[in-house]
Amino acid sequence: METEKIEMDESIRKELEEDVMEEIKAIQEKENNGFDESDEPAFEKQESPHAAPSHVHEQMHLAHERMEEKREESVRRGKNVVLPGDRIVESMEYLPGRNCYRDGNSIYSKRLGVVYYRGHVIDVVPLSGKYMPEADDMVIGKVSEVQYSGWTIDVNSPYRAFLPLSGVRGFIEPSRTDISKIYGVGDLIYARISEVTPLKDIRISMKDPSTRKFENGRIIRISPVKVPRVIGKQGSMINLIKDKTGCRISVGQNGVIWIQGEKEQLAARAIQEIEEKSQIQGLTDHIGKLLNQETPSAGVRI
Amino acid sequence: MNIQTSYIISHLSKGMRLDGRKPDEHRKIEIEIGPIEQAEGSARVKLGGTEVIAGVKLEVKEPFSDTPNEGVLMVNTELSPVASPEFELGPPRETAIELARIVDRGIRESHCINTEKLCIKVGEKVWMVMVDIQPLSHEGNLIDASGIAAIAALMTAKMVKYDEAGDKVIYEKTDESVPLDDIPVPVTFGIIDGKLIVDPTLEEEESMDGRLTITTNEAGDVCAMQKGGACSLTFELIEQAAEMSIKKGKEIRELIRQSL
Repeated sequence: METEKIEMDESIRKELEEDVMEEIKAIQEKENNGFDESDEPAFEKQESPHAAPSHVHEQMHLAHERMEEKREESVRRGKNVVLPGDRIVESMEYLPGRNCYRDGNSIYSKRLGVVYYRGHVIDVVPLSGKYMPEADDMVIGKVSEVQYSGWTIDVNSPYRAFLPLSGVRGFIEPSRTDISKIYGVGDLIYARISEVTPLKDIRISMKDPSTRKFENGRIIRISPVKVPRVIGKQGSMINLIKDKTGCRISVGQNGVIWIQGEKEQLAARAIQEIEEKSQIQGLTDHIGKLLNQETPSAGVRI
Repeated sequence: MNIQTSYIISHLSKGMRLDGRKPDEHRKIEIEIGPIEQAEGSARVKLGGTEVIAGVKLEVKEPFSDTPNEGVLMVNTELSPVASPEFELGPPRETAIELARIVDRGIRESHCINTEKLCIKVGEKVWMVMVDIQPLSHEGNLIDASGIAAIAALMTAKMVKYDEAGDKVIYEKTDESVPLDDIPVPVTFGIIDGKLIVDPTLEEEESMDGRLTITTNEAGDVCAMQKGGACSLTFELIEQAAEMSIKKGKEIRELIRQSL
């Protein structure tokens, strides 16, 4: 029992070290490449991309500190994978974050997933499931209905989103405009979720400069819970794919991905490989190797 | 036009499909025989990500008055939400009814079941063969998966005993098979931009103009045909589809035989 525990700690430590090394690499790369042009929303909010050189060391130092912190916490935590209703901790020290709730003294999980500690906040990252909209997420949606005062958008979620006329750039007089000319049924848009009410009324907006309507390219769908892996730490994974394939890629938090470029088949293959093998170690290297092959080895599962 | 549709069309003009298949290629077909023990015969078919389970049950009923010496075939499908979020509970809708009818017509019109052998007493008692099809996962082309599952289930089905004196069926499998003379196999084509694609996926189904299902029998004859969707077809296209379905049907028939 004792040796097992030590072994577990060792493996967690190794994993964390790798994580941190990747993080450091990403920071250094960013420093070398200058400004990072990706307009995709990373799962972990990005720090300012204009970091000065002295900043790098500080960030590296912080990363090391974070590692230590994480290690301590992973030792403290008894369980990694939790089921809905599982008790994660019995303590008032922590706050329930994503996908968990407090009942009395304890925090319980709402989903089947892996527990992560963010300081004093506990998150459960689900292993599977549909997309649950959150304000400020960037999503790719399909226009399913044109109404008098806006559009109903399918955002690959159990709930439908509404894009009001006020959410579009410029002033539109609905009585004099055929608004289906702006967005028609079947059009795909890259939009920002502006509001989610407790009753899951979703409002989206196209006012943001990064939002747009897609005119060409292709769409692939992956499980929404794998989106953070496709983006990678601070966009490292998605930038790797973009660099190697030369494709333009937009990732929606709802698991819908738009790809456009000459090697879109290869990019699509790589993204699906990430989805399938998201649990393996050294995923970035694996994908790098895959992308170095000139032609995709097999077709893309749809 | 939807960008996905135009992407599929531009790819198809180069002879390619989204998942790397050729236009005349099926996804991988896997056939598992006898997953349901209580059924007289059953089969589970995987066609890529599409999965269908079919079971055969036998009952004794009074024959229809116009065919007093023939047994009865019934095919039924249910599209439950387990297969796709698009399906809802409740009475069967158009798609479920059409699916059952296409499979039914393929089996019926190939005359593969020797219905006269299913007669117990002329005008009074005949066997009724019920094929129930349940899709488990819908990733396109439920028709072919259902058709293959149905015929594979029929091929493995064993007759049960009928107690004439007590007028009841004893559900004990005998060595006798359900009298089958043929193996009808449906092949479904999607029609996009005037081109044929075999075994369309869900994504291709969303983008295609129409579909054509052709069921062929062992002798290489066309025994049933069903067209869906709003597109028009030329004679050349139908001829091309018929030829291809005979060729594809042969391959699938061999696959079914091997899995028995």
